[in-house]
Amino acid sequence: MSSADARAGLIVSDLHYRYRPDAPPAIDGVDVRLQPGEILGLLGPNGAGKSTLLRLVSGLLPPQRGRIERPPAPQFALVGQENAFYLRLTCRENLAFFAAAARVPTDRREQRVEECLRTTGLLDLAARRAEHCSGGARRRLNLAIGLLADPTLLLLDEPTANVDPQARAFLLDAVRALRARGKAVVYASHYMEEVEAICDRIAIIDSGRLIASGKLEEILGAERRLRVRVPAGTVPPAGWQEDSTSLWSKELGAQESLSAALAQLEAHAIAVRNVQFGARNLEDVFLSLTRRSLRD
Amino acid sequence: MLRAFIAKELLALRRDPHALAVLFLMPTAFILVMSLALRDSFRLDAESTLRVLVVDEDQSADSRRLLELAGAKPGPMNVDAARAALRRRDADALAIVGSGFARALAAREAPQVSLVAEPGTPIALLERERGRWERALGTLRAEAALRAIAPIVGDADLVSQGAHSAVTLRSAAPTPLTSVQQSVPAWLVFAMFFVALPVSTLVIAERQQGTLERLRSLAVPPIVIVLGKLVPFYLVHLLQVAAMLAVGRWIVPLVGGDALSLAVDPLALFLVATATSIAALGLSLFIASFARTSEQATIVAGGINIILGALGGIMVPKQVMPAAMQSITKLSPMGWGLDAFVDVFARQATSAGVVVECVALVAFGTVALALGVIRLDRAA
Repeated sequence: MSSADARAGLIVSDLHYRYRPDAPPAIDGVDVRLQPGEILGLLGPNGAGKSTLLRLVSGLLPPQRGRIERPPAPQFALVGQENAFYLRLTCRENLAFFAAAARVPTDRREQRVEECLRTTGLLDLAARRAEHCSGGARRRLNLAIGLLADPTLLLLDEPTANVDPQARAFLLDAVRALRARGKAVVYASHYMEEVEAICDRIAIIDSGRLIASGKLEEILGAERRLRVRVPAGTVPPAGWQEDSTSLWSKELGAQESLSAALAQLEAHAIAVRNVQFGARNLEDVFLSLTRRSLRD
Repeated sequence: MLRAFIAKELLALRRDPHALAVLFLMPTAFILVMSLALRDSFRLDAESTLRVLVVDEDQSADSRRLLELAGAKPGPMNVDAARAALRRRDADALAIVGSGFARALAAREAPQVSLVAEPGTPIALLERERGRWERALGTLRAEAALRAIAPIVGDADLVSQGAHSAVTLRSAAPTPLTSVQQSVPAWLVFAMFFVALPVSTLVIAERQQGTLERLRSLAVPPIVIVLGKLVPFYLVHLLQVAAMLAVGRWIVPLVGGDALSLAVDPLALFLVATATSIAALGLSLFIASFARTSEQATIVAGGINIILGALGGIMVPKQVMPAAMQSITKLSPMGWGLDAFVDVFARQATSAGVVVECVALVAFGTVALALGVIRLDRAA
């Protein structure tokens, strides 16, 4: 499954996985490539397959079909959604324990623990038991444990779930700093603003399938769709499609102008209440691709 | 790496006051209470603790001699007043030597001695009381018979020489089994099996919090994960053994109980402790593999331990159980552990003397452990 081909990054090819033979596929033919120094945003609603993909990549689930190439453990680290550490131990004791579990050489353990405490801003809380730390500090400790073995590939699963804005900003900065140090990072989230803010490339996953993948600019600029909101019960002419109640959209051709499309509606005596065209965000992209909200 | 796992577990346990209370304070309290409560039940020469009122309605030389032989003193009350005292629970039993006692004795009829018990009085103590009166009556009859034949055989001392009991009661063991020798092993075994609570809740917490998954993603060998749980609690078990022996030896006497004799074979003690530990740890992991939440684990582990304890003669000593119930204790691994510890403490058994119980405990623990590990692996 894993090999040195990916060296410090990640290659996933035609990956398939079902939890039960009679269940729908949790991962259905996914392909992903990630280079060192890149952050791949893995975007999708809850239950889309993000965590399953990360568990497959980290070897916790065996792929039923397909290929995964990644660095061997502990040169990769999975930082899961849960605060996976021991509440009765202090931050430093947790780090010391997981450093041993990650086979960090004995003579480097203390140094790595200090570095990870510093990187995640936990130096002041080093002697505090994890059970007495705030939610934000716990998320930072969770990340710090993932950094102990200085992995080249980091798999972050919802790293900012349930944290306050300040802790979120700190964590995002920490992930950017990891990219600057040449780490490859898979950043799974359903917070599109985070993914937009820090990721170089994006993979949108829904129902186990990769429905869009590429650089952020490519994904955001890939379509010329005009969206309009009209009074309820009003039906625009042919060529328009109904996205939701009162919300219609039309893909404009390369030669078709925005003013011409709006004029067409005016000619049909349709009162347009709201127009959206041009710059999109990931929410729009996801909605157009899946007809579902990212928050679903 | 295993050392780090062991150190982590012991550190976490040291900071868990509830687990420490269950593992150390609970058995200490039980040992103290039960050693005192059962003290007289195990003493071969124990005085009866029953409060017995005695009414001598016959007031004859024979009835007075009967009371003397039974070691009883007649009270100042008549039967009605004594019965009223019994109803008020001012006494546990009432012994009545009926009028006509001497006449019945002379006529070789059944003499009228009756014991009336307060309903809450333990049957075992009443039986002991009845035995006391039966012996006194038997001696009285023997004295009467010997008095009759003494002139015939020309031996004036026949009565004083012949009517006394020649039966003595002694234990076959170098030191007789005392309540502390029963209570220390019993509650020690119970406490050792109670590691099922902390072990199962820890395993479940690790599963729920993703710690186990993190360790697996770090390619930590499963054997290290399993031993990382078992070895620390094995050390806890050895600590429990040392602590409970110390309680039996030095704390129980402080509150009026007998001191636990530590004249035992250390190797046999170590083997029994280790075998019991393996059984307890196997059961713990087995329970952890079935329970889905910490609450479930607490209820299941607590319930199973109490059932095994009741069946195994922990709560009620096997010695006071009926024969059928005594055979049921063989179904409980706690019973096997208890038997082995009692062999070591009361019978001064060597390692060869406890090998059967040890093999049974290790086999039980190994099977439970294997099933638990398989289930946990599948669940992961």
